[in-house]
Amino acid sequence: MAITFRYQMINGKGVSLKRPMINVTFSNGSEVFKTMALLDSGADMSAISSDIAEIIGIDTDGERTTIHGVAGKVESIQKKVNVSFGNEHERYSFNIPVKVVFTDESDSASFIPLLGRDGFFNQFKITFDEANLKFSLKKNND
Amino acid sequence: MSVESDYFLKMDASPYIGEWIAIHGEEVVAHSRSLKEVHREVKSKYNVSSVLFVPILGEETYIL
Repeated sequence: MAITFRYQMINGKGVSLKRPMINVTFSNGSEVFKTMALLDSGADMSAISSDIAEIIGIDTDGERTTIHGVAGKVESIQKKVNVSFGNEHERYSFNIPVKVVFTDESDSASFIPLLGRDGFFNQFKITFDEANLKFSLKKNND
Repeated sequence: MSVESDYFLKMDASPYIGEWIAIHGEEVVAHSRSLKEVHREVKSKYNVSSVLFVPILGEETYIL
């Protein structure tokens, strides 16, 4: 079965932005963090900000590497995190590689958690229905 | 989906652009530019596993 989600819309002030986001839980042991994450087919890997990593107790020490995006480059470190999502009928939970991106604490709201290809997209058939503002995820081999 | 994410999808988030918000039930219970500040405030009052934390992106176009 596929899980279908509606695009998230920012309402108000005449703004009409639509983004493919899903409600996910990132966890590390007993530490959990529920948030909305953006499906990003252009991201090689998933990514979370360093303050999310610290909240769920991921060690952010270690050698940093530079990752590149359209807007420039940032420092990051690669870790693994559990991610789970679903609805009342289906629920999925994976341990996926993530880039922990070092962000300024006062500006971290400009960095939304990303679900990228390695470890996430490659587990699903993902269909974007832009015209109807919906997208669906069907687990591979279901 | 959850009560919190359903509420987020229908709420007017524009007053919180550039901030993190914390939603519990159908209510924004904390907001700040600092996630750690929001998380600290929420942790003192709620079970964090029942709270949804969302960064409110700006109205700009995002190319990630």
